[in-house]
Amino acid sequence: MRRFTVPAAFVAGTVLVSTIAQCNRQSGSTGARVIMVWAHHGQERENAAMRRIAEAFNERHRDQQIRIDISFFPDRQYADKVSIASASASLPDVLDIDGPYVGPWAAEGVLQPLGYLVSEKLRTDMLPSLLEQGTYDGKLYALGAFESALVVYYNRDIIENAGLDPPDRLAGAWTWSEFVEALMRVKPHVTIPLSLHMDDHSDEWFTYAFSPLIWSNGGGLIDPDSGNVLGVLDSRPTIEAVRRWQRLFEKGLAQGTSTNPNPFAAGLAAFDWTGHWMLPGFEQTTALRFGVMPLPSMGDKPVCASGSWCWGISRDCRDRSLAWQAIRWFLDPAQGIRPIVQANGAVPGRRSAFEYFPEYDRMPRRLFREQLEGGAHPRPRTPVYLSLTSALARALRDIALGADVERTLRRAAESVQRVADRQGRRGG
Amino acid sequence: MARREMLTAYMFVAPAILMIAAFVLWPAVITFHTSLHRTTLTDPGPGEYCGVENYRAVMSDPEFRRSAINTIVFTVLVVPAQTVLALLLAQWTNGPGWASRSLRLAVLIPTMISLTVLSVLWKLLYEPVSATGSGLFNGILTSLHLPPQPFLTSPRQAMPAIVVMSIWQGVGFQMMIFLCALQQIPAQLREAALLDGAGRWRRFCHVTLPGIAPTAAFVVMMTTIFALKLFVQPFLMTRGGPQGSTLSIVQFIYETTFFRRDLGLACAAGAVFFVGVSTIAVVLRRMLRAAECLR
Repeated sequence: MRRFTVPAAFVAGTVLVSTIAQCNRQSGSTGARVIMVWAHHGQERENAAMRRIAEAFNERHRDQQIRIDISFFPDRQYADKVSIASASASLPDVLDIDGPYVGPWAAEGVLQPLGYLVSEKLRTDMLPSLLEQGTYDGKLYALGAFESALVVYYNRDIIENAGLDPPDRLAGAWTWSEFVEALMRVKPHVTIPLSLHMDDHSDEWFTYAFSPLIWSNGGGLIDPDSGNVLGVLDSRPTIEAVRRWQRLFEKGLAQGTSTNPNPFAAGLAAFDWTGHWMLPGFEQTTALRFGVMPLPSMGDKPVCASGSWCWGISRDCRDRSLAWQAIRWFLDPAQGIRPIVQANGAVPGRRSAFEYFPEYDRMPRRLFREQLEGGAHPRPRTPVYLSLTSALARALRDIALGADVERTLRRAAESVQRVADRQGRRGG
Repeated sequence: MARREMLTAYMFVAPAILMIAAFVLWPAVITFHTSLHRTTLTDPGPGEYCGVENYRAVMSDPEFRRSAINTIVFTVLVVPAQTVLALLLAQWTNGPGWASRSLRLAVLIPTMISLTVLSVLWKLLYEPVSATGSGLFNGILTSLHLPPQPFLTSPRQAMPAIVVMSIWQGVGFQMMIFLCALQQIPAQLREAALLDGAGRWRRFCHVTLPGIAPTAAFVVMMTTIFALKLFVQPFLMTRGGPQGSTLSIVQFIYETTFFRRDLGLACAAGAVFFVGVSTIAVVLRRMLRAAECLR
């Protein structure tokens, strides 16, 4: 009898404990309306700022019994987590979305359109690149509180020694030939003429950082109308742009592989092709005298990169107007944008928010703003974006190591086209 | 009473059976079911039924074929080398002295460290020569006035470089299994062979090898299955490159799921992989059993 009682008691105990745990979760609710928010786990300062923004919202809406419940998930697993939650119909109300994911998630129905909730005043106040980033198939799905900027930093000591005078305005951006000529002039005096962060493990860096050269040369990654990749990613202007980029490695002006994530701050590189996020670190490096210039242009005019994290409403959200209250708070210049931008150093996403940041009236940040207001180019919003960015990154890594440009881009285009064709059949 | 005891036994194994059913069997069934449907990753349910279309697509996909060839090449290179090396190391370190113990520990340490950490470490060791320095291996080659090698940046050398790292990482575990087997061979057998005048090689062939044959079969089988599941090393060291030379089947399945978002195709690839691994395991087991019978 005893032999039977012990396991029976074990099973009964387990059931009892889980029942009590479940009851506790339910009784934890106090009748307040909760907006579930998922955010990516960024730098610790940024996470702390997001928590404060949510707490301020909860404080302000205490009387209405509305509160935000925010959860953070590691950056690299965030998208996988959202995809899996979508498959199990357990998405939160509001989602933090990395810009390039707007296309796939809108196409797959993970996001709901939110354009009808956005006032005209807010629309005109947003940076145009953010509106473009959040729009898929003519509908607005996401809006961000901040933007990113891609520039070329230069070491003033090295540049002045070489007698160079880089531009500080978008209109005066160097041509590609001028840029290569400058790199050749600094080469004898520096370990690395140009740092391109080829060590970056994420695929996204390659698309974000080097697509502007392709666009500037008249090439492209994907046809926005037909969704075709073949004939675009391997088109003449794209091949030509990438071939010119490859010559940087052939001439020893950049490294195809590197384990040093920040040679510029160490004074080893004359130019650094990177984003706004490196600026605070460079400003704190007292030994470093640096300046900022726009990306060089391969064609008629320079093209600037853009895109960052933004907010959208998920498919599983029941009360969209409630979710929109949270997003509106995150996009509020004083309540949302000011604290988050102070924490992560990104570019404010609304024109009216710049009043809190007078540093955007002078260099180097003035160039960030000028680029974004002057027509930055977001990455393509397409259901096959993740395959596209992965294939392009793989191709560029190989090309930097000497692979044949035309054959490699053709293979990448064929690979993404296969995905697009299958997706067409799935109705994605 | 016997019936009650049976019931008790079932209740004790019930949690394990439930766990296996929930986390192994049910996902396997779902995988096969999904492989017959056009399903996008974020779809809450299986999409439209499409028969064997996903299987046809995966078998004709050049990236899948490339990944299958790479995985087989990796397995063919790793399994014999790692098994033989593990046996030699076990034989060498099979002694009571401090030197043997230290050596055993040294060989075992890599198996106790995270494969992720080791992959990143070996990536640094394999670094090519550049303006800012070079990896340890190229540093040694240069100091010996030998030409530096591109290791991970060359489509020809990347897979052998990963094979070497994987053998180094995994050999300690197999060595320990062989050591246990070696220590179970009765000392009288070796002594009898010695008295009969058998030399070292004959003792190894006629006493040691037959004594450890079942263990060797187990080691070969497990190493093969582990090798076929190759993912972490190439994913972290080369991302499947250069030029697809280290793309493994598991990385293909991962990328098809999360990048292509084609869950149907990924499940078909997973099912093909499962059948392939099972077939290899069964064939290998039969071959090894036949070899044991011949002995």
